[in-house]
Amino acid sequence: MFPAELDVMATALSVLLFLHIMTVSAQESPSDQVLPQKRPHLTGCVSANMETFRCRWNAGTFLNLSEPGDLRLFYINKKPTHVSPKEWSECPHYSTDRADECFFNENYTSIWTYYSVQLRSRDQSVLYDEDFFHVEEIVRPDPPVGLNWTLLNVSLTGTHFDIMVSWVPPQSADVETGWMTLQYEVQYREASSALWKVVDLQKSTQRSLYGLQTNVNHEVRVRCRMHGLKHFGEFSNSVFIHIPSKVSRFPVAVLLIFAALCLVGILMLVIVSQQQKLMVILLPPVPGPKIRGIDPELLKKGKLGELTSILGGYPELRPELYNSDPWVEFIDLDIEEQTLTDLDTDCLVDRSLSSNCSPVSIGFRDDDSGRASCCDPDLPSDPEASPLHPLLPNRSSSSPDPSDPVASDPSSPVHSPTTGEPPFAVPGREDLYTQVSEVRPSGEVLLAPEEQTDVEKTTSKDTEKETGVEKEKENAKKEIQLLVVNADHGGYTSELDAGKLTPRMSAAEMSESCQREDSSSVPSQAFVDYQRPYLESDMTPVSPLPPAPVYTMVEGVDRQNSLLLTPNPTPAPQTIIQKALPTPGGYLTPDLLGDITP
Amino acid sequence: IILRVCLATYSFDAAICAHGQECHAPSLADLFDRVIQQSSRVHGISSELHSDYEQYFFPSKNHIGKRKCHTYSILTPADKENAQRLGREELTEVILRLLGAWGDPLSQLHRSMTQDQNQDFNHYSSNKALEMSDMVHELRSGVTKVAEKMKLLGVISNALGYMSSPESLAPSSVSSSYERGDFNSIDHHDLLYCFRRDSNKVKNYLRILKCTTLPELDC
Repeated sequence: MFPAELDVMATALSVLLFLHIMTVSAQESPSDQVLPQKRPHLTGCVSANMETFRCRWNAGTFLNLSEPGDLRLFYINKKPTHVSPKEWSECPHYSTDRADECFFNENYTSIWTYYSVQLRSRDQSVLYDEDFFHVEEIVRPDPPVGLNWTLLNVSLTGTHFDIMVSWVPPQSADVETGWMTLQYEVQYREASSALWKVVDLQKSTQRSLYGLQTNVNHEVRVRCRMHGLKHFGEFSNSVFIHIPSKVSRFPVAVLLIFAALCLVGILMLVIVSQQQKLMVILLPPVPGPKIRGIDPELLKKGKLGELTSILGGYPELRPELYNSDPWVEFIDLDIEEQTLTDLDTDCLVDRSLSSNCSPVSIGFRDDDSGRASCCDPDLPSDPEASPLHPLLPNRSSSSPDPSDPVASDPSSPVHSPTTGEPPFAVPGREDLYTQVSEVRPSGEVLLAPEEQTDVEKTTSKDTEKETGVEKEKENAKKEIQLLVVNADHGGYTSELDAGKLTPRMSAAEMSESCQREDSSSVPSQAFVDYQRPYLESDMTPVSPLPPAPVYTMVEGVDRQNSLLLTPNPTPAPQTIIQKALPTPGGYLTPDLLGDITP
Repeated sequence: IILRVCLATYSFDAAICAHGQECHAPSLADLFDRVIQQSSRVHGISSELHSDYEQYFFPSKNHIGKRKCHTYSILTPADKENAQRLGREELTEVILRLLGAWGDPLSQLHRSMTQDQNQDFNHYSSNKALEMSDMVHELRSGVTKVAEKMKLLGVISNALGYMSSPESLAPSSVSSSYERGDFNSIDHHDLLYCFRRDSNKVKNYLRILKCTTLPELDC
């Protein structure tokens, strides 16, 4: 086992060694023979002034050709006018100052003619290289001379400067006669950098360079080429520029940094000390959403359903909206000249002072702006809001009619006018509009017959049973009651009152009538129909029910304490209530709220 | 390329007025500048076209001048001394002769190149040939105007007979050699070689003419 492996390894190693030696030798041999293997060749023919030209060659690595004359140059120049020479001519002049160069002077140079050049061995047996050209194509001018610079200016900070560089075309190029047209290229760099900056080609012999740094060594050079050709000539000698900067930059920088730091520090102090004020200025607090009478919690996301139900629901069931701070202040009373002063209030209250009182015409602006709902109980409590409120004590105290019995009737379930109690407090928020059917000259206002009859009915049933009052009396009572009722409720009866009077009324009818819809004429008609038998039987001649409920506004109170009603009831309130709840997307905004609750 | 053609068609004696300046007829110096610019452009295009042809068709430069340019009969100064020895009038005449001799052959070249649809190179280069042809026509009229202006200024004498009929300058053999009409690529190449050389002559002669006539400007 071992010996076999050893043999294998040995042979492998020997093979490897042999290969290595071979490669090394192979590598060595080219390096040794690089030079000898290169043939003599022409390095190029160049004309500097388009009047003469030179051809140069390289002897290569042939050792036996170092002698002058071992390589010979022959050429043919084909001029179109002359007969083309079939023979080759030898170089007219081998250069003396330089080896391996042939110089063709003006006599042998013709432009726009065809040249063919060959590099041959001494005995012309071997052709090493050849070239073909026209002289106008091989022009490479000499480098410009006289490169010079002048300082244009230095920057204010002393960090940069501008210079103007100028030069002169080479002597060999005949530019004055226009025989040669040159293009120049300037290059410059900082001495430490290896990359040259190249300026665009130009025809003029001067160039300005901007923005060079002070305290740095700069190098500038220039070269040129024949206009229309590709190849440039050699670069000129470089010129070195160094401008020392005058002002030391150190203190300036330090000062600037220091100033900046101070500024930053001051700013921080200001911000920290005035933090609160700044926060208010920059980020003013945003007021949250707020609707009077509604818990802001409901306005949060996700509770819109409750909100809409509250706002769009039955007005009587909106206790949230009618807090202690009602809508009264939003009522837009257009009291133009005479506001309701105390004097007027006295006039209203006490009839004895009526001589001094002029009828107070208090104009109500019958629009729904800020108008509380029909069921607003607080409206009567405000003396300014309604001049009718003072009628309450007035009526109750000075009613000439036999309202006293009524007043003194304690068993009236509904009407206790004098005390001004709960009857209009309890059902107050659920006030309802009702129709005024007739205004008597005596100042009495008759409400809608159905309620009248209801009142009559119930009161007759409940309260007057034992008395057995005559119909007249009942009617009068009712009227009085009605009056009282009117006075109590500011001319309106409450829905609940109606409900109490007519327990048979359905809740739907109640809600409908409160909302004052024209379409509720059906239930009101039901009212009428329902009550009609009573009407016919019990009622004194009362003006027939108007086919449609007509609402009017109590305009004022005249001297006789009678209600002045507006002749043309405005349909506006009806329409307003008819308006459907505008709930775009189910969300109710405060301004829409006004539309819903007039 | 289209843009260059448009530029080539502007009239040489059209006054180019800068904004705010009064319009004058172009001076001799302006005319010279325009003409020299035009000749430079012509030479540039001819060089491009020729070298493209050499790269595309004849990679080796082994052509020992078998061709014979049709303008060989026009005697042209072959070096600076001869050019300077030639007077302005003769120099102008030589220029005009050369330009006149190349009008037709260039048009024929363009036609031939567009007709030869086999080669993609021809299809691409025919635009350049057209441009060259147009520019040479423009240049010829421009140099004529320069000569007239020089006569007007008394710079050159009126002893010029060629002005009347420039077309007669071209030797009759010129057009005959190209009338056969079946150009091939070799013919194209020869033509371009000849024209490249002649356009260089024109460019140089114009420069010499300018600097001997108006030596103070850019010379």
